[in-house]
Amino acid sequence: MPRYGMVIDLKRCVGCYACVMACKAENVTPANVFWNKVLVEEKGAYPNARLTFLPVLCNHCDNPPCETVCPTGATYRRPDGIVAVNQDKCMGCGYCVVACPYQQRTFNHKTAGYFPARGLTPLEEQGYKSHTRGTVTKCTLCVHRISQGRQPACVVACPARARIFGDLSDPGSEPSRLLGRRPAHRLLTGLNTGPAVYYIPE
Amino acid sequence: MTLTVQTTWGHLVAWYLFLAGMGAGLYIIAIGAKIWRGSTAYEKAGYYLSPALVILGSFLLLLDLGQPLRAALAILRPHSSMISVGTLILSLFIAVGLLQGYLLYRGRRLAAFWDWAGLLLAVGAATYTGLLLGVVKAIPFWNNPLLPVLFLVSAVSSGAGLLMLLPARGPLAAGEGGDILLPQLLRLDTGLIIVKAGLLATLILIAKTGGLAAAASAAILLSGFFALPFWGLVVVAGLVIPLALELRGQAHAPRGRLAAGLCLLAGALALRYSVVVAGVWLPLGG
Ligand code: SF4
Ligand code: SF4
Repeated sequence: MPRYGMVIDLKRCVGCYACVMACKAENVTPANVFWNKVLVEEKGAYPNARLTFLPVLCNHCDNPPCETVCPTGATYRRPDGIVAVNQDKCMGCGYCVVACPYQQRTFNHKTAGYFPARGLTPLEEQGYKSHTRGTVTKCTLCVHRISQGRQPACVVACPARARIFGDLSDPGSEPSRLLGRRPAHRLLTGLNTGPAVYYIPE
Repeated sequence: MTLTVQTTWGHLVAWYLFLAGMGAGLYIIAIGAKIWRGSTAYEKAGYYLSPALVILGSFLLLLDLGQPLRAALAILRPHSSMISVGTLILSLFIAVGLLQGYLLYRGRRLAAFWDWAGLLLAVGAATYTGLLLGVVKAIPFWNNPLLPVLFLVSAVSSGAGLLMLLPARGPLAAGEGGDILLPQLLRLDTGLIIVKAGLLATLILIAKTGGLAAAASAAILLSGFFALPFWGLVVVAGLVIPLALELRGQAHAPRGRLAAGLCLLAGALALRYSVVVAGVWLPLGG
């Protein structure tokens, strides 16, 4: 059984938001819902100030707190490590939203789309069918693409090749070899969530 | 380092925590008086009003759901989430309370065992409202074992406040010859207020001296966007005024009693709001 995960090389990330937009286009997430974000921060002081970028997505944790708090069983962890939400079981209590330490879950109010005055675009009309109003939504690691042997949309879109996706349980996979060569860290490891997204520091 | 305040839970959750806590707290005092003082003065309030308040609170929680019709799924899995455990406790409490209320209405009473069962469930329900937030590690201000204790004590105190508001006559009155338990109720509440103040101060102090997120939570309440309700309602209305009224004996008079009761309820509600809106997540990045 694979264990899917991702390595993000912060030395390579240029903060272009291509991954954010690729995720939007691929999954047609509702307006103001982002499964993939880039956190921008200013470091240092003038004249040596600079921006740093931290792309964040669901960590598909080994011990996902979102799953522990879910009262309906809508949130579950697949054998391949992907943490998923069954939109037919989610009652929209929002417990997982507050409990995810990575702030990776959003309540889906399902808005009128990005151009409310003009109604839904054809893409929105089609794409919104896969999102249930009143449930909680988050990154699926593009499971629909993975099952076809393709990489997640954000990985393919990254022009800097900063995102390396693959099977972390296979020592020969690209992310595993990268992790063997370069020191990497994960976010909030003190909580023992076991994130599957690694970061190579700048 | 950016800090984010959770906004997913708001008004309805705060009201739910308040109402469920108050209903449970009322039951604890009313039936506690029966068990330990041998007095049925507050029995009607406990049997009729407590389940009604918990039902109202649960209804608000249901309203807060994105898909309320699926709520039954939560009861079917009592082993999983704190919400499932809580739903189970609240449902059992409501069931026991309704049964006792119905029988009392018909002029009958259940065996004392059921009072104990109801009491245990009430303690469980009031504690659970704090545990719901207390188990969330992602929000350090909530993730404190003192929070459930504070919510329990505050719930009992708001139950006392409600009893102070009940009119001398009417279906819920504390007995024909006036409220003979009032002096004991006030003495109990004075103790509760002091414990409440100590717990709250400790909780805030721990947050203030804790990590970035916890300190930000404390700042929201002490000097931030929720400072006015926190100082005005939680501290002054919830602690200072009722304590003064009780210590100076004014709460024995009808008007003082009314004022103390109202202040206690306002303070308890504002406390739930304060904790909910000051939920700051651990900072990401680094
Ligand atoms: S990052 Fe959050 S949403 Fe994703 S698996 Fe971990 S706890 Fe759940
Ligand atoms: S919002 Fe849905 S997925 Fe999240 S905890 Fe509640 S029922 Fe589970």
